[in-house]
Amino acid sequence: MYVDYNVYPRPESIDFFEKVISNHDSVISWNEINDYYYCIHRVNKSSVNVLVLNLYTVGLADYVEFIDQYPNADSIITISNWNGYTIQAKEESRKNGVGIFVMSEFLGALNWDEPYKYVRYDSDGNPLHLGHR
Amino acid sequence: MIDEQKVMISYSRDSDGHNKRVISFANFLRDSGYNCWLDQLFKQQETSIDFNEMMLKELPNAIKVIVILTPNYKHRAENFIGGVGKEFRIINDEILKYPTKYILVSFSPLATIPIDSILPNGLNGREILDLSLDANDCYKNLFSKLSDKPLYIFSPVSEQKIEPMAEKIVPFSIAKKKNADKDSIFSTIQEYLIENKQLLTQYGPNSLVALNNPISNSVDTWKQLKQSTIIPNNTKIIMLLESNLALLGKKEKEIFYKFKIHAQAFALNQEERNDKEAVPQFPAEFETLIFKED
Repeated sequence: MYVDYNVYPRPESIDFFEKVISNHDSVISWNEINDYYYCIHRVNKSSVNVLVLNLYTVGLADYVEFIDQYPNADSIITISNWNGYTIQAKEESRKNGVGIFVMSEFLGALNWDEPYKYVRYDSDGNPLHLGHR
Repeated sequence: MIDEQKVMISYSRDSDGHNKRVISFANFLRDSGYNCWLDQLFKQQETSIDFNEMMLKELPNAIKVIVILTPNYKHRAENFIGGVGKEFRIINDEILKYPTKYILVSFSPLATIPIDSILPNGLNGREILDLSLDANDCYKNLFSKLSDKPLYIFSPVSEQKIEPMAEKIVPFSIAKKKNADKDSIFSTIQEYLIENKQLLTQYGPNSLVALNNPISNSVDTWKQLKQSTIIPNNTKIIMLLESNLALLGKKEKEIFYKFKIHAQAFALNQEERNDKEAVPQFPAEFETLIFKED
């Protein structure tokens, strides 16, 4: 089956994702609902449905397209730190209770009750939007 | 020091004024260190001088003979009249043998009299020293001829002859030069593209480190290299091609503009992410264009 790795993660990236999630302190377990779509069960927190992608930039059109395919998704990850998202996509998804993250952000968001609200701050207290650049 | 060898003056006794002027000229030469003699001086040495004998003796022995030309001198010389006639015979005999001995001069400016009117036949074409002009130059020419000292120092002729280097002209071909320029520019661009590609392969989104560890901090290196090297290289490529657009064909320009749009959008994307549709990827055809000569 042909997979567009400019949209979906490579197998080695999926392996990496599953390994990291398995070892996350807030994660009890996880199960794969479909290819690239997971349900993550957390300690004392609600489960999170996450779609794992490898889009270099998640734009608003991408968000709309994928949320249409996965209406129950709480989070969309574009897995690599080299990837990112537009401010427009981030703000629109946030309004709908959906978080768009790069992987390193998602690992922090898993600790939050409402992951879509996750914001990382720098040492001066300024919000870091890793995926914006 | 007085030169013992005599400088003789040959002249015609045209008038009392002319005679005194000749004597004055002789005194000027004597005052200038030249042992100048003329008939009047010999006449004062002896009470009954034989002018024929004097001329036959003194002219051939003189180191220099100044011939003061006037119309009357010409007349008497050509017609062998008097002392001038006798002297002229000797002058005619010797002037070819001793090319530096006889000095033909004129007191009158040569610009005001025809040369033919003062120069005896047989001396045609010879140089006449215009003393009225030479006076303005402190008689440099006269003293040069009397002393056999050159007015100017001329360099000796070198044994090594300088010959011009023949310049090789390349065959006429505008198109060839254009291609040479283009090749050179493309070659430079190749270096920028190669460097960018190396960095992309090593640290870019599809690098081994990015695939094996998507949360690697190597992304920071990538971000730095984009700013320090990749974007500046792209800018150099754009500047290079924009200043040489005439070298590109229509299709090549089209490909270049695709690259330019990509490069500018790529740079803007570092400031803030834009939709992927607004950031066209590097056009592979640009790489083909730049490397096609290889």
